[in-house]
Amino acid sequence: MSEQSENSDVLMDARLHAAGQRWRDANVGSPAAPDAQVFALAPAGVRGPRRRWTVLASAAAVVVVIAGGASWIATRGGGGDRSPSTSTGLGKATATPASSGIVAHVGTRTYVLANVTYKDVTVASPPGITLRFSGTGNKESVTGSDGVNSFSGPLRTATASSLSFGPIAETEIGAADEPAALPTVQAAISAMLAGSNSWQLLGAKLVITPAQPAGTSLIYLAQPSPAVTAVDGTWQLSGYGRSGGGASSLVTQTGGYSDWLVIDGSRATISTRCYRESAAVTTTPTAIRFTQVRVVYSVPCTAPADAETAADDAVGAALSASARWTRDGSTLTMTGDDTTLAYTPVAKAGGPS
Amino acid sequence: MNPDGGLPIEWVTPAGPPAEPGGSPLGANDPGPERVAGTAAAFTTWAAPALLAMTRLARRLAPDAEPEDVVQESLARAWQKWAQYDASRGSATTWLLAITADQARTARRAKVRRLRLIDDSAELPDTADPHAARRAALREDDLDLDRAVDALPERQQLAVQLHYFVGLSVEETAAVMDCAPGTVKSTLHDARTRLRHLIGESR
Repeated sequence: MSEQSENSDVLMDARLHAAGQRWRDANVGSPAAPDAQVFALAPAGVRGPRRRWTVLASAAAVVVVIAGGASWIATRGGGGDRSPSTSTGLGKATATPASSGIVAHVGTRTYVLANVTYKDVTVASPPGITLRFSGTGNKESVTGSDGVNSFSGPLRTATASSLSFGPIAETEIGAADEPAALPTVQAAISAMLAGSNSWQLLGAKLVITPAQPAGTSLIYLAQPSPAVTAVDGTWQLSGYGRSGGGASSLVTQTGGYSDWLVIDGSRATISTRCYRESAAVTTTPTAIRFTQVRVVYSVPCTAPADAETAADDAVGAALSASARWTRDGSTLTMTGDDTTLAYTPVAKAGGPS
Repeated sequence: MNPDGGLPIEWVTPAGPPAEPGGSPLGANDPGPERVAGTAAAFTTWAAPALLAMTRLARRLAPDAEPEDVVQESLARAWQKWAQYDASRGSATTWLLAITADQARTARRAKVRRLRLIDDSAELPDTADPHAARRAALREDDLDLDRAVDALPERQQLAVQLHYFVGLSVEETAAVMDCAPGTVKSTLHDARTRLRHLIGESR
């Protein structure tokens, strides 16, 4: 490196350090401590202020609120923490008595809430509210959603007929235009997570009945899978269309695009030139929807806009909305409101690494 | 290094970095889960020193995607994966920052998708500058630098944001990015060269 270039590098380094320090000084990230109300566990069915992250240790135990770079702790009710543990992590810091397991009975598949009864009022659930168990023995855990926020954490107890959770972490993100039934649904889910429950598996129907309040139950249905086999496999994008033109207006290129879709049961991996993403897949005989889309990795995408870029964008749009799917011979076609994707099957060895 | 070339999903990192003399932004209270009870309160105690850095990183990487929500999602994910944390592989803060970087990337991409779904062809008005809030607090002569940083390739941008704006040492940045400190140094050098090109040598 020449002396001039080296000097320029040093100057840029100093400039960046100075700019960063000024930015940090202006972004201390410590909001004023909230008033006492923020500490309180929100009443069942009432969503709290947004941008909180809450740990519900139990129905009456420790409530922890962390927000915006600061944290506060308050105790609530007469409960207490669980017994201290010397474990190396949450997964080992469970449950008294030891869980005998629910996963062995209900499996690790995703359950979708069908309807709830809360204090003897029954409502149909909005779509996409899920519950999923995983793990084994006393390391079982749960993940799920309440329609707006996601929650996760270990099981406190699990027997062949009883179930309790905790501590459960749940985001507290506000949402606009919530379905009318959502507060009732969320109240029932809050009751389920906070207290003891009984449960039954009736075929594909998982019925969870919180002990409190009376007249409350949640009915989850195992995610339907018969149609999944029709879309299972490794696929390469062969054509895409925007603006709702359907399969008749697909843009294709010889050899297909560098976009791959691997569907394996309820999971999918989507690879484009710059991203690889994983997602949960929900299918019906006519519809497909990708949820819980996570970026597995990305690489700097500096290529100029071209046909591949447009194809990538079409895949991205399709991941964000429900689509209808059809199989015509070997071609899998997914049609959304403004995007159509056509895939052809490839042998797994020919798919993305 | 992740063989795919990107940040890992699971925590894989070299040995923890030494503390930076002269004031690391990382909290000193980093007892690790093995020294605290496995409870909600313990998690809070464990994660709290990282919150400021997490919030700053989210504000830098995803200012248009509700940074506080990104921090929430990161904490929820960390809670779920806490048992996988291995203190011998790095500090709590660098582990949490790696999760935050991943969540910020997810949120940023989802935001772009939502905008495209609303109107794929519309030109966004000036007021929709996604970084307007972040830039509002900047001095005039920092604005061009801030815009240039946003134009860097993703890995260079992440290194710059972590090292210069979140304030991590090179070693801490390497732990977050799951690479060697030397790789961070060369990435930062490449970034500075590109920044000089973007904003002009004379500045």
